[in-house]
Amino acid sequence: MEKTILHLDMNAFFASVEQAANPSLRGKPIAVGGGIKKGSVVAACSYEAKAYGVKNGMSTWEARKLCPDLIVVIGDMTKYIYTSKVFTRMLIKYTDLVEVFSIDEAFVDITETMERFGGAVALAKDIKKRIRERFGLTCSIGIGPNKLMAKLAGELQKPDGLVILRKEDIPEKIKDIPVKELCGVGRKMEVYLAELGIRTIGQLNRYPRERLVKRFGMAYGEQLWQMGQGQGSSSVLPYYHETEARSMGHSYTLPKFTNDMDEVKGYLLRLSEQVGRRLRRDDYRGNVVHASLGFGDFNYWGKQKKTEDYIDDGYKIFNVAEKLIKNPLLATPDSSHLPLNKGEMSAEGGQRRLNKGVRFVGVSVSNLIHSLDQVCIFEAEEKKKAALKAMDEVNDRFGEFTVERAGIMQTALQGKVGMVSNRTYNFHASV
Amino acid sequence: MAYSENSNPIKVGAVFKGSTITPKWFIWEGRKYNVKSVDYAWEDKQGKEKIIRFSVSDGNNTYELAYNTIQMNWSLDKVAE
Repeated sequence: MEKTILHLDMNAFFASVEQAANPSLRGKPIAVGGGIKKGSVVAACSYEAKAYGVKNGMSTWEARKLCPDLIVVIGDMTKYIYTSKVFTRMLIKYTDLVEVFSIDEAFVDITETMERFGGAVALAKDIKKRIRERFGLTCSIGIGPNKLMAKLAGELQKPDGLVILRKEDIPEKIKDIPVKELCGVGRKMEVYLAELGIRTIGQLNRYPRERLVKRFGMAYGEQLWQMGQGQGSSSVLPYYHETEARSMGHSYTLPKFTNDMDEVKGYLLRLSEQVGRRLRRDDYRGNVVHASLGFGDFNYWGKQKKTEDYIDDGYKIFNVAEKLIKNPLLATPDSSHLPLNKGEMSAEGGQRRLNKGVRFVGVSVSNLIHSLDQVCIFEAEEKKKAALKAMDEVNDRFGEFTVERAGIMQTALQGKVGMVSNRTYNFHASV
Repeated sequence: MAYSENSNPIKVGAVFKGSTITPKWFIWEGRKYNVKSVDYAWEDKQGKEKIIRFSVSDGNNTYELAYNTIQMNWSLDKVAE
């Protein structure tokens, strides 16, 4: 039986929420970000700003050059997370097969239930109407036989679009669309494919399977070929399905670029504390710590280390992460580095990056196991555990960071940041 | 567009109907502001306490009002500048 998958994408989500919340911003070019300070970046922008060429990730200074009337609003994650929870709950009214893809995107398998709502188009229109009535927001909906095609369909008409791609439309209706529009084809893959003369989905569709496999390996070459044929997964996990976490992490895009490594370490400690708190809350420990930095030139650096013990204490996580980021900018490549641009890892290249500043800090813990809380023979360790437990209890009752380490008091993050886990949505089968 | 952030306890007139709360006016620094529109409402948490936030307009400016559902008090948390 052919599946019918619906993909919902909120249009210019953060910016649209701010425009809905403040009537004076409606119809104007706005950017949500860290303000107008030097080095601030645009996290999201309105369609009015996009018309001037403003893009997400651009520095506010650059964006202001393109659009002098740009209004910069400091983001408020609580507003966005709440909105995301509510529209996801709306989707659950249609079927339990709702998979949250990101804070502003979800896949819905409507195969079994769409007829009850008058068919796929009527159901999609109903969702759009309800979201508009509740929040004054628009979304683009794509409908297709699998997740890949549903997402692509949604990309074809923005904002407020509704596009259906049927099996018989492939490849004719999508043959001229740039290959980068396919979910899974990133900037680098776009370049590699261009080297093979593949720039559109039609060209990928006609490209011989064996040559893709030869160039990209069995797994990815085969996947690319299938993408070119419009094939992809149609498995949508129900909203209550909880997979075992493989890693837990937090990251933060700084409101402005910084060259001050002490400031970076301050953020790293705060993020490590958040990771530790989540690990303890969900009863996990891990023994691989990964730290990452993003630079003003949009390059990223990351490195990881295995620890002797399985840990869930934010300070221990920080201690490992801090050593990892110690002067990475001047490091030379070795097998443990994960540079995205290997040529940039020379001392000279590192200094160039340092000059551009750090704009992103991230830390995660992986290789997780469920916590085995053994009593330690060292009294000091047990005291630390008791202090953490007491801290967690206070923060559970009065809010995050009511009690915090003195070292992070100068590094307040703007709004709630980080990954939005399934638990954030706090859905249960009875919703 | 900046918002000045400061949590000020304020007096609010609101209609509680069913499970919805609609602020109608508030008094801040001795002046009464009539709420012309409630443009956005969302929920937040401070520990175990649920806070309902309202982005409201008096026709001239936008204000963020917060209602603490446990302590049953109101505050003005943000004013658009």
